[in-house]
Amino acid sequence: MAQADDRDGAFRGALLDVIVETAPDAIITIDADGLILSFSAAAERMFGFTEPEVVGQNVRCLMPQPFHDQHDQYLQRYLETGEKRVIGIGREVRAQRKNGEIFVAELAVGEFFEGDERIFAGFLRDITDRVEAQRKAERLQRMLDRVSRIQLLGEMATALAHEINQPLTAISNFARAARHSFESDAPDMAKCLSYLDQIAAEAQRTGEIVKRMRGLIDRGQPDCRPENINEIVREAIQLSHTGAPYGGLVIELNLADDLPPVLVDRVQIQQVIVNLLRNAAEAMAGEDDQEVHISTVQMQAPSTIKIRALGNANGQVCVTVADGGGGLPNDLVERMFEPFMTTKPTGLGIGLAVCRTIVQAHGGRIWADNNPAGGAEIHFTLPIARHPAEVGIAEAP
Amino acid sequence: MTEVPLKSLHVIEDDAAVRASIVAVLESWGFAVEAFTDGESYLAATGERPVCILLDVRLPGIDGLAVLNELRRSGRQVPVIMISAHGDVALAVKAIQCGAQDFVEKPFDDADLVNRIRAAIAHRAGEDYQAANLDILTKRELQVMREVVAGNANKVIAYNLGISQKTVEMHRARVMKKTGAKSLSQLVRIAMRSGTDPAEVSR
Repeated sequence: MAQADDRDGAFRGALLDVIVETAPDAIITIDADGLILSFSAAAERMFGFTEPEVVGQNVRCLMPQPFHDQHDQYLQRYLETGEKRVIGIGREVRAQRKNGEIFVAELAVGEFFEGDERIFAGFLRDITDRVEAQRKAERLQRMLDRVSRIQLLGEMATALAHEINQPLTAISNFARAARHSFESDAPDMAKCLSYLDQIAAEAQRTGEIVKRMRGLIDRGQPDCRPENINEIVREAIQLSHTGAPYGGLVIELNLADDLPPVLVDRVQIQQVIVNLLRNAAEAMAGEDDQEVHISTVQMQAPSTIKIRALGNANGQVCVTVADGGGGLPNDLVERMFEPFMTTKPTGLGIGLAVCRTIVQAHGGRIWADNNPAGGAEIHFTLPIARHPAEVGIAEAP
Repeated sequence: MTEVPLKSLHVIEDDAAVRASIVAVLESWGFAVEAFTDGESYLAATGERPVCILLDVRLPGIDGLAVLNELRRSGRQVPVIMISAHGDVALAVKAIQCGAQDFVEKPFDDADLVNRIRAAIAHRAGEDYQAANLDILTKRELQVMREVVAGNANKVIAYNLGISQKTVEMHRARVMKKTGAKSLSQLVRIAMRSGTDPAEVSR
């Protein structure tokens, strides 16, 4: 019996050795203090460390910041609370090779005891390729969305030009015809009056076309509700797909956490933020550090000239999107929100004009300036949602 | 205005106000004008032969280009001026290739239109620049001209040739001056006559 157990034990031990040595996933064991006990061949290949180099080291040497500094706390928290955040669940993590390269890995952690000693076994799979492929697919999708949107806008602009040129042609012709008739020896008054009436009618028709076009773009009044602006910002980042922590673009958030709710149409304000993010990303295309800062703050009593110029903006919530691109030429700062104003070879100059339309429809204001430290900043303000009772008090004489 | 002898023009335009206004303004210049609302009714109509036809590009049913093709196919050599409501240069090029004399964009200046009508009637529009010699153009100017007659906008030309939009405008102005072309349609015909196929560079 004892012999059979021994043989069984030897078999299992050998099997375990083979598994650990040949498994394509890196297998790393650590103790309760986070010190590395073993480091499989796959782990050596994945990280570039040899086993003797890392055994006895804290496992955080395989992690980039901020995880590097926080891992001891993670372990401590688990040992104290028993709350499992990775064990038996698994998650995507960022890991760091010996040469400093950071990669994305899928981590699964198991736990067992040897005598009194608690041991954790981590299984890591390098999913850089998969993440890269996913990012590429997302990038393509974004391009596709953009192309179809540009196409749509192009078609709309063509349709608009065509429609408006018709009444303009008629107005121009009737005006000249009337003039020629007045100049002739025997002006036909009845004819001239009819030309003038038709000019007026065609001018009205132009107005109707513009109104209809705007109705098409605006889709009616914004559907305003009290909303948390910080949530809207976070959702907009997700929508723009640029929020992936390993994407080329790094988005830094600096959101004030004591903001009152704003009275906005959630979807429209998200559209504004997505547009601004896209502009920021394009302004920094090709640069090494692509960092966008988004901040939210409540406007305080006027303290600077710029804010004073905002007049009744006091108390409104201000959102700022700042990029690290080349900044804006002075003449552009004034005109950049006008329709058809663009510096991009394929741009239509619609994006910022739409942003301005949306913000103004909300009773806010949008403007641009250059950060003294470099890069452009777009700010926009939104009115805060007042409690109905509060409004009543405020309006009482 | 009265020195213009009464001449019969045909206008084919589907927009009622535009149609009435063209009739009004051309009558004020002394022309006799007959108007039609679409291509089918025009092709079916029998009557006095006009001296010149003004043909809208966008018509319900068969469009302006098809009407033009049908006129040419049936052997009617009357000069045709195409009218478009939006500056579609590629379409203008196509119309000229199909045998239109000229191409105007709405909204147009009446005096300019009348000049073009007179030129078309006098068949001057193919002659006074026949002698234009493209050898006097620089290589760059030739490139810009090809792009222009291919229907590309300045912005696109700038991108295609890797030069600034300002530079394109400069070359473009010089091409017009050197060839003596007074309009884009003239330039297109000059280019076609010199063996430059606009379709070659388009897209």
